[in-house]
Amino acid sequence: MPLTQVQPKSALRAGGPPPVAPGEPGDGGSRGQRLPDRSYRLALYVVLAPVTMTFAALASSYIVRRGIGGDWRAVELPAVLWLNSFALLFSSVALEAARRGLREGRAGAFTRWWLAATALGVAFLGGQALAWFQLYAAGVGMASNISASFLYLLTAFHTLHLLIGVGALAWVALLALRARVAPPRRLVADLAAVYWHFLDGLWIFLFALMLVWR
Amino acid sequence: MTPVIFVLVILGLVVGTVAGFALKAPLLPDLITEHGRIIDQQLVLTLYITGAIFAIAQLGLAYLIYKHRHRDGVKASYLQGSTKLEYTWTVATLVLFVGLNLMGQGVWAQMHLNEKPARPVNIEVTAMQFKWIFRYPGKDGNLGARAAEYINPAEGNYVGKDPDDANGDDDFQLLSMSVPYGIPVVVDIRSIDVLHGFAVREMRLKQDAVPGLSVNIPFTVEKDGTLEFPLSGNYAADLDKGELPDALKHELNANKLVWKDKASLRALEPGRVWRLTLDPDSINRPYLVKLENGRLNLYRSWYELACMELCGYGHYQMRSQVNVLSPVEYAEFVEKNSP
Amino acid sequence: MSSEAAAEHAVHVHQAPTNPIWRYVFSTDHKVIGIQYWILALVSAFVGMGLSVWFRLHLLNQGHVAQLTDQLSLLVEGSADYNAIKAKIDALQTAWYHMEPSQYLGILTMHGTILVFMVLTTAPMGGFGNYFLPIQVGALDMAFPRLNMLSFWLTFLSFVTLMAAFFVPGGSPNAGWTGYPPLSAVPDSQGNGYQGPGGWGQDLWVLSIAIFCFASLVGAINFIVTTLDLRTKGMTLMRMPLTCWAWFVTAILALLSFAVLLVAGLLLLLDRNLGTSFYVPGDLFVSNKLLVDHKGGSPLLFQHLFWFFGHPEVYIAIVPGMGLASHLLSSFARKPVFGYRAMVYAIFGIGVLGFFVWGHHMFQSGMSPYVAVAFSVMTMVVGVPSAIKTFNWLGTIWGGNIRFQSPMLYALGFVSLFVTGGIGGIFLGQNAVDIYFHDTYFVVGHFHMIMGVAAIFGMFAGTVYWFPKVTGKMMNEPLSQAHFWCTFLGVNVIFIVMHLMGLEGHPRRYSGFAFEFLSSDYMVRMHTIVTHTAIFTASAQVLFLINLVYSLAAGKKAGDNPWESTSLEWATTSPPPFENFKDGVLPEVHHGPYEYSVPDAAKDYIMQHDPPEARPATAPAPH
Repeated sequence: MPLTQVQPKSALRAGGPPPVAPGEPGDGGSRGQRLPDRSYRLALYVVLAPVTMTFAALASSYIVRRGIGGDWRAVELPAVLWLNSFALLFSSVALEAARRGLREGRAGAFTRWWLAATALGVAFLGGQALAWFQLYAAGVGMASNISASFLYLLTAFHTLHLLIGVGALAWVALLALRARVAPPRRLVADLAAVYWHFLDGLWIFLFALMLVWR
Repeated sequence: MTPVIFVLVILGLVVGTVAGFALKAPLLPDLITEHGRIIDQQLVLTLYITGAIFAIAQLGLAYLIYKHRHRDGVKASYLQGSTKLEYTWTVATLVLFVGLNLMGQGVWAQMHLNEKPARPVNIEVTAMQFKWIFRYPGKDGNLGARAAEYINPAEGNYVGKDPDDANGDDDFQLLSMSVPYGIPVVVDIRSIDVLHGFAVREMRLKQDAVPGLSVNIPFTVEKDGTLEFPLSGNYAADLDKGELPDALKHELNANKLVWKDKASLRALEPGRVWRLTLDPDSINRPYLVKLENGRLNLYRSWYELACMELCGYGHYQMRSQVNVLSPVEYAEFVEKNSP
Repeated sequence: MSSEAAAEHAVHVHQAPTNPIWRYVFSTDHKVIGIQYWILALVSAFVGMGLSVWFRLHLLNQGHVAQLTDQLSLLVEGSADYNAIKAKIDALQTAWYHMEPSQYLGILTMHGTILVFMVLTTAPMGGFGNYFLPIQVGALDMAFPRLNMLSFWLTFLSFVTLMAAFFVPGGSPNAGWTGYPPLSAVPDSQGNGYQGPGGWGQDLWVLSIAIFCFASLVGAINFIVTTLDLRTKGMTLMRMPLTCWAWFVTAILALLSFAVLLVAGLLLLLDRNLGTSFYVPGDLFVSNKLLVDHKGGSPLLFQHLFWFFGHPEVYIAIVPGMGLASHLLSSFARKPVFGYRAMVYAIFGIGVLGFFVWGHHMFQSGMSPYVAVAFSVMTMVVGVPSAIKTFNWLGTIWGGNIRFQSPMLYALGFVSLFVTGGIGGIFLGQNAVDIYFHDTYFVVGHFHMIMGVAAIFGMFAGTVYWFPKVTGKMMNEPLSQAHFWCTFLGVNVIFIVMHLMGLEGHPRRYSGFAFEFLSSDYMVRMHTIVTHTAIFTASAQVLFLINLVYSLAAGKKAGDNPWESTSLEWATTSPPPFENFKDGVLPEVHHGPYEYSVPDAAKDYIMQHDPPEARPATAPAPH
């Protein structure tokens, strides 16, 4: 069989340490081992795999439990969740608008759209808190019914992941405000955006699940 | 030296293991159910096939170890593989493994997938920490309804029998299980606290008892008992009278079976089959004494029922027993116990 | 950046931290982390083994008690014989290793949990993988060293949490390492007869596993990115040693399976503490009262989630051993691996198929019997890649020139144990035959053989093989060999006898002999053999410890490549410098990983980084 010569994928060059200053993204910790941008993208996709598995496990538990549960009493989803969903969708659109600005070199547009997306993200968090408060006020507790348990659990797990997302968006926004989102920082914006879109899609899935399979 | 030791150790391993299984496999616990025979056939077939694979693989390893041991001046071959061989053994193992598996699906279908037998004897098995409760439908053949709200330990109602359901009026419950041979039985296995596992070795039957779930398993016991040991002499006349001669008592004693006050003997078929019930520690241990070819034999007709799913500290002592009765005896048993 | 700055920078970044805390404790160096993982696994292994010796002693004791009690029933109460036997029983029941039933289950649970998580999952991956993956693919470190450090310290935290379960009120959890609810989810059901209501032990157990899941996920991310992105020039995927392939696939398995275990554990924790009903059905009658706060949960849901993780976990434990066995068989038989590509495909086959067979742990659980058929057939299919690997191992030593040094002994032992253990799987994977064997000692013997000792032989092999690289000193060969023979003999006796006990239908997890068929002479004799051999085998592990300490202190100095192997870790010094390769100059790879006995070559072996000319043009093309 012929030997397939694949180009080495490492950005490392044989014959000397790679030129990178400590503290730069990609300093790889203590070694000055520079990772190419694509490694960070890869790492993010790898991270998304277990997150997907986590929610797949939760969703299948939901479906199984819904299927067998004679005790299942559907909880009325708070209306604010609809608003939340739209907020999240719009935040994704805004992120894309921001990234377009970044690609085209319009720093102002980038900053504005990115801040808008971050604000929508924060709004979503507020909306979730409101939804929980409304549920709680209506006497729906974690253990009051299995549908409520799942509702709290799914939203809480998603919100936990979203908190990290909002943190990432806020960090990029901060960098942008300090006018440091030059091309090298595109990576950070891209990673944050991919993660955010993923969570957005995830929320649509979860929301649909809770609506359809009540 | 090392390769020689290795070869010897592997030889010992193969001989020891094969001998261990060959000596032990024919001595699997007694078999009393119909489906169990097919399970045993499949088990023994698997034993032969895997035994051959085991011996060939281990001995092949030993052979290669010895043959290709390091010797000065010998250079290893630069053999990198063989696509043809890879295909051959992939397909061969696939066919062997899957084929073997499919052969066992018949008995699985019989136990789990096929329609349950018509007009069986229904017995409800309720597992709880750390005992088994068996509910029998009484003369009407129907079990009364049950619900958790009726559970009342003070009245011994652990299964939650509905007192208002007329079907349940003649139900009775016991701590051991009695089944007739030759008649299909369906057990309804359930639990009221944690997981338990219903298992009787001799019946080749095992099923977890899951709270919130009820699993029906059909089986037919096809033997009235399994031979324990021959007894000496011919005391048919004494036995018909319900008396156990001292000589036989001694023989039982020598086999760790004790005839005590509560023991009883009755003729099922006078002159030929007698039911011997020993009661050494307050559980009935029914045996059969049969006159066969001019000799008396003692048959055991009770089997231990074990819990096979970890259920807490008392797991190891969650024991009950299955008594095999003749259809006539079973009818009497129902008659006697129905309220 | 100017070349001047680069040079200055190179000097700056390539120095190990001088503060010992950063250098040896909170180190981001993959080598130090690898050693930390290895030590954690070693400590855990001895704790876990100690527990097993303890409960083996207890079981043997109980066997004698049962037999004496049988004798007692034949004697007249109060007679001299009766009193003598009674005194003997009392003495046995108060022996120091006697356990209460609930305590027995607690020790059993901890034994399983410690060994599965803290040994079988950490050592092959976190230990050897961390140390050698970056070196074997030619990288300076893992892709994300700080995450790597985080991963270890989370694992350590998980270990501490688990150990704490020994000491909390209520003692260690007693629901088995599989922790099936409702037993694990309803505190009242956990044996208040002996230790008060089920205490915090079970909670700590879940917590520990949750932390462990998180640590494993973080670690797996590092392994995958490092393998895909940090290979040195010339190190194509198909030039990676099989060890690297094994770690890569293991990382993928861990990535996808631990997330599900995390969910399973979380739901269990909620059921246990907040009264939710994911797993706990309604109307349970526990401790003489009806539980009213649960409704309609499904105990089977937990089992599905648990085994979705649990089956891949078996492969997480054994696949690195498979990779290492392939590596060593080739190296010590001085022959290329037979069917390198087939080996890679087989590892992937196992990895992929391993996700579709979890139901074979649940044939008798009350799961849909139709689904059981599908799982059973899939289980047989997953046996095929394992068989392929075995054939290829035999093919690898066929025509070789085998050097019987201790790493090779362990590798050959691994193959033998793998065959023996794997064959038990052909019984258990058939749903019909499993009716008889489910939850018997046959299962215990089977999984100890394959996922326990086979995997541990992989660790022994790795330890003796790489010890010279890590420490610069050889391990003592006679001691290693003595340890190998004792252990190999011991484990075979212990676990094959357990298979035989399973053939008799001996249930697992029994702390006593309340059944007639268990207290038979035959069974007690079998228990005696197992316990005595277990004590012998456990004592033999002291040889291994002595060897470690002695070799560390006074071992023969090892050269850079004492085994004349070809992979990149042998291209650097022993021990490797902080930057793995001299001055951080990464070697360039020109050859496949198993170029032994290449015809017409000057040497017996061609190292991966040897210049292209090292391989004569006349030699046949590599795979």
